[in-house]
Amino acid sequence: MTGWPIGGRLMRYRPVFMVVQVMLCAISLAFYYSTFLPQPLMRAETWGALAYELPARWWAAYGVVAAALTWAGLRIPVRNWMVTAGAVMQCAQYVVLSWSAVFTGGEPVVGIYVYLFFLPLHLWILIETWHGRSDD
Amino acid sequence: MDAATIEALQKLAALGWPGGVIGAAYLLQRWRDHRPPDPANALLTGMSEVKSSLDRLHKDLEALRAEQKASAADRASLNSRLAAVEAVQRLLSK
Repeated sequence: MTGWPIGGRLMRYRPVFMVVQVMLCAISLAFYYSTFLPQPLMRAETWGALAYELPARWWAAYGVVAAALTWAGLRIPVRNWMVTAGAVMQCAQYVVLSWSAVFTGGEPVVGIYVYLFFLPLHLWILIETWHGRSDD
Repeated sequence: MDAATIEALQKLAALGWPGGVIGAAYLLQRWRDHRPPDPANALLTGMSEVKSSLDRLHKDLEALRAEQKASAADRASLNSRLAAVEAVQRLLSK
């Protein structure tokens, strides 16, 4: 197939998307459990002051729920509403976190990474899910 | 329940809920597979399959009748079959 490689290829990319969700779930779990340690992995100097309007534990828990929802929705038969809910949750999280890191005193490189890698990846998942969606 | 037990349960819940979330997401994804198919939908699907089979049969019988090679007895048999098919089609289209 030639041309723009996005849209209508959910079944081709689905295994990769699922692996990504498993990894994101593992990362969120690591962040979550680290909040019980004396030295948590997440710090305001990295993610910015805006992100710290909510406790780090909540962000990590939110990440676990969103990644689990997206992962489960991507299983066959694909559940569009689950993938959509999970991916939208993650997109919203990435927008807030990258804004916080870039504009409210965090590490800009972290924000740029999130904005230019994780956000487009989840927008892509949304596009693939809604382009020629199944009967769910 | 004493305070120590409650505290232990709270700690267990705080540490163990992600497993519950992942399990719940898995079950939620599986859930619809275990529901029986809607009988009304199954009936409608079956009806439409019967209708399309009858349409095909009708077309075949008409094609056979149109062939000049068929004998008078064959044509009479075909006509009665066509009439039967048309009667069922009329019944289904009501």
